Amino acid sequence: MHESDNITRLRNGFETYYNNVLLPKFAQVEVERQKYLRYFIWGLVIVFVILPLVCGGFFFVFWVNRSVKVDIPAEVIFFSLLVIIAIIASPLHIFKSKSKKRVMPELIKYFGDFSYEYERRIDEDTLDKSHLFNAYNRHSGDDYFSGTYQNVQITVSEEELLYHTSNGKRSSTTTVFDGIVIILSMNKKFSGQTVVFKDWGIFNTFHKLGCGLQKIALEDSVFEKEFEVYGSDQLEARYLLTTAFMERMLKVRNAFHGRKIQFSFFDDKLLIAINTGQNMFESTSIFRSTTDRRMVDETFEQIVSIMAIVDILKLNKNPGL
Amino acid sequence: MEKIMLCAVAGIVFIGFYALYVSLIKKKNRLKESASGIDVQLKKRYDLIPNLLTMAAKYMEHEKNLMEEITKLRSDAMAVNFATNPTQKIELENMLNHKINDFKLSAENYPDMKSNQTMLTAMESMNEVEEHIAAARRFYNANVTELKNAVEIFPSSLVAKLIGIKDEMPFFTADESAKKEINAAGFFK
Repeated sequence: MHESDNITRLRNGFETYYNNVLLPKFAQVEVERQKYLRYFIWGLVIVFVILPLVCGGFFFVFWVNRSVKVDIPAEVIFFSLLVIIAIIASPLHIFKSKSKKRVMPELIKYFGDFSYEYERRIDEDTLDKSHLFNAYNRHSGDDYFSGTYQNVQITVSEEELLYHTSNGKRSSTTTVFDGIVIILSMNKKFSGQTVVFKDWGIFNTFHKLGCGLQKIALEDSVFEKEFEVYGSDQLEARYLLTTAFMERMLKVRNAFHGRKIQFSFFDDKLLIAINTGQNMFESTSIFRSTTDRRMVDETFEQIVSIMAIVDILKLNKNPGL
Repeated sequence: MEKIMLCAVAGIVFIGFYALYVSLIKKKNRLKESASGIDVQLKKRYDLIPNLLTMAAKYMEHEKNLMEEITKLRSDAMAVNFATNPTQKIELENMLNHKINDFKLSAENYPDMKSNQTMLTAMESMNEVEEHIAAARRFYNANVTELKNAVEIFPSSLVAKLIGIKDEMPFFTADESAKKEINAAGFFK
């Protein structure tokens, strides 16, 4: 796919930005990384070397002196194991949080007037309004950033929606959505809602039942093969989904290599949900030196692909031009 | 037993007939609704044209003839209703579109006008309205296709004949000159 001038400009300038702005930040993070890696290794040593030795010692004492009987409940053992796992994993979590809070705000600023919050998520009201997600009762999110790129308001967040059921004895958790949610300001004014689902073939009726909107049959056969459109207003849906815009949406779909991607137009905004099924925006790892560029480059490319959506959909251009 | 069978068959035929009847009436009404939707959108453009021409008249003195033609075509097109006389309306609209495109092309030669903020806003509104017209046209054409298919394909064609529904409404196709892209981006640099 042909890359826009804006994206080429972003790619060309990143090396300089990395060296001037990001590298000093990564140097600070590297010191922290080594510290937390040491904690992590110590945790492992304690759990896998010292703790077994201590337990072995106790076991030996009780084995020699068989008159002393100790009965430890299974719950205590299970709880102790959980605590041990949490203690071992804590340096990983603390490092991830600290490094993200330090590096990501600077990285994201490269793309424009953006702010970053590690622990924030998109509010449930917005997610529900989109009609794109099935019922969920557990919601978590991170890597929330919002700002303006090419005069288009963008909000991005990594979201995980789960549906948990439990009947006392058994419990099960189904992943409703695991990916990124992108909210973009639209260059057109509209009052209703238009939802573009992935085509489910004979199961499309579930879409209709789920959103309670009317089916919009569009004339682009390629688009119709990929997506199923529902809306509150037939005319408005066609105003938003012009033939050119449908082609651009297919380009966005292709840019994300066939991942499940769905769109919802409401409140003068376009919400895009991309089911990635992977952890995104990981620019550092406790197990890799921060001077290793691979993770930074990967995160950079992930953000670039999001910004490219604005260029592909031409949301920064006046409608009709 | 035979009577029951006969009644069952008659019942099925009646239900089938009624379902096709309902579907045809719905399609016909949807087509009418979309046709009046076109009138609504076109009216928005008729309302914009005088303002646009008044503003342009200050700059485009050499295009007086073109602007007069647009004014006349607008009046003619306004006098005809799409829902009642679609063929004539389409013809007039295509002529009007053609002249508006000529106007936009000529506007490129007047840099002072291109930089005028009021003119920019008017052109933006015009583009917006044209997008709405295009959407209304697509919705209308989709409904024309639906009704045409229902009227021509058996068994609904039979029911259509019985109740007198015809596919009288033509497709609203823009003429070739109107389909050509106009580089109005010059207004928004």
